[in-house]
Amino acid sequence: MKNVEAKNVESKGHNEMAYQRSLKNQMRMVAKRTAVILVGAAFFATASIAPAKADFAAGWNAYQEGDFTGALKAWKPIAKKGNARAQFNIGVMYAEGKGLKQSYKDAVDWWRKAAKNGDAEAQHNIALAYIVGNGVKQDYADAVLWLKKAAKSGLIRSQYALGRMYDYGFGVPQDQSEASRFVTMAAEKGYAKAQYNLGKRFRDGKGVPKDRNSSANWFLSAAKQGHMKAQNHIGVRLARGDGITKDEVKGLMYLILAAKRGHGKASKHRDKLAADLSNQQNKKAEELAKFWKPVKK
Amino acid sequence: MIVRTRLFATCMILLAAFAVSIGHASAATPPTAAKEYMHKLATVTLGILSNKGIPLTEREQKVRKLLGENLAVRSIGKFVVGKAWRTAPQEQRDEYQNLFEKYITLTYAKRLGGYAGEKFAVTAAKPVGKKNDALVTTKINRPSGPPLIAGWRIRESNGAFRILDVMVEGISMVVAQRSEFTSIIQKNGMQGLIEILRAKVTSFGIKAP
Repeated sequence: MKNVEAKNVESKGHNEMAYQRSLKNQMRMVAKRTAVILVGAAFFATASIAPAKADFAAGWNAYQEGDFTGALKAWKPIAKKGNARAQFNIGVMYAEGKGLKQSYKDAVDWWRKAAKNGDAEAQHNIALAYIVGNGVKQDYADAVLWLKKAAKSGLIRSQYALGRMYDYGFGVPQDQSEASRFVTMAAEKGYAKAQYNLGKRFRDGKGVPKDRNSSANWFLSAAKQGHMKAQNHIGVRLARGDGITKDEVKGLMYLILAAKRGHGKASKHRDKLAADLSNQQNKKAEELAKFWKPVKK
Repeated sequence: MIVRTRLFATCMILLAAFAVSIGHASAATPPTAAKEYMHKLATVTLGILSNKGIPLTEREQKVRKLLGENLAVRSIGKFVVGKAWRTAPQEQRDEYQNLFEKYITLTYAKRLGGYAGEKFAVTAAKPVGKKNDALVTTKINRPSGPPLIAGWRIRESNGAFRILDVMVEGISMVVAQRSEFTSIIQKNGMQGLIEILRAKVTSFGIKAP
C-alpha cells in the first residue's frame, strides 16, 4: 500500500515537474515571440524614420547650397506626413520668399501645422506674426497666447518676449511683477538680453524691489556674455564700487570693450576713468580687454 | 495721373529732406570714385554669395556684416521714423537704432541670400542732390523678366563711402520705409514699432538636422 502511495506521490511529482517544464517552455516561446514582434516593430519604425531623417538632411543640404527647389522637394513630402521640423522650415521659406513667392499667410499656415505637432519655435514665430501683423491681423492678445505656449515649452526667447508684453501692457494688462517673473525665467537660463533687462529692473525697482547689488550682478552676467550696454553699466559700477566690489581696472576693461564696439557713452566714461588711473592700471585694463573672451552660456 | 505726380513730388521732397537731415558731405562725392566703390562692394558681396563651399546661413551672416559697414544705418534709421525721433527719450532712441540696424541688415541679407548667379553690372554714375552725392546705377539681368535697374545714392564722408538709399523702379527705399514706419507709429506708438522690429529680428530661422 505504501508502495502504491509512494508510486502515486512519485507519479504526481513527475506530473508536477512535467507541468512546470511545459509552463517554462510555453513562457520561453511567448518571450521569443514577443522579442521577435518587438524587434520587427523596431525595425519597421526605424525603417520609416530613417528616410524622413535622410530627406530632412537632404533638404537642409540643398537649402545651404541655395537650391531652394531641391529643399522644398525634399521637405514637402515629409512635411505632409507630419514632420514638424520640415513643416517649420517650409514656413520660413515662405516668410523669406526663398524658392517660392513670399507669403506670410502661407508661412503662418505651415507654422500652425508644426505648432500643432509640438514645435515650440513655430509657436514663437506665430506669436511674432501676430505682433507684426504678418499673414494674420495684428493682435497682441493672440501673440501673448502663442508666446505663453512657447514659454511653457521652455523657450527662453518666448519667456523674455512675454516679459516685454507685460512690461508695456501689449495684449495683457500692464503688470511689472509678471514682466519681472518672465524676464527672470529667461535671465536665469543665461539669456543676456534678459539679464541686462533684469539689471535695469533691480536698479529702478520695476516689478522687483530696488537692489543695487542684484542689479550689478545681472549687469555683470550680461556683460560677461558680451552685452555692450551691460558692459558700459558694469564698467561704471565697478569703477565706483556701486553694488559691487570696487575694481577700477576691471571697470576700465569693460568700458574699453563697450567703447570699441561703438557705445558712445562708454567712450566718454572710458576716457574719464582712464585719466584718473595710473599708467600701469591703464596698461593692465587694456591688456585684459585685449585677451577678453565672452562667456558662452 | 495727378495722384502719381503728387506721389512723385512727395517722394522727391522727402528725399531732399533726407539728404539734408544726414548732414554735410566733407566734400563732393566724385561719381567715378563712387562707381568704383560700388563695383568693389558688389564684387565682394557676390563673391560671398556665390561661394557654395560655405553654408547659405553663414554667407548671409557675412553679407549682413558687410551691409552694416556700408549702409548709413543710423542716418537712415533716424529719418524713417519721422517726427517721432524728436520726442523719443534717448534710451528709446538707442533701443530703436540698435534694432533698426539688425532689422535692415537682416532683411537685405536674407533677400540677397536668394541670389542665384544673375549677372550684375555697374552701369553709370552721376552727381545728385545739393549735397553733391553720387547716384550709381546698377543692372541685374534676370532669367525671366526685364533686367532690374537700381540706383544707389552714395556719399563720401571723411574718406569713407556710405550708401544712403536704394531706388528700384523709381521707388526709394528710405521713403517707402518711412511711410511704413510712420504709419506703424501712428497706430502703435514708438514702443509698438520697437516691439515689431524686435519681433522681426528675433524670429527663428531654418532648422538644421
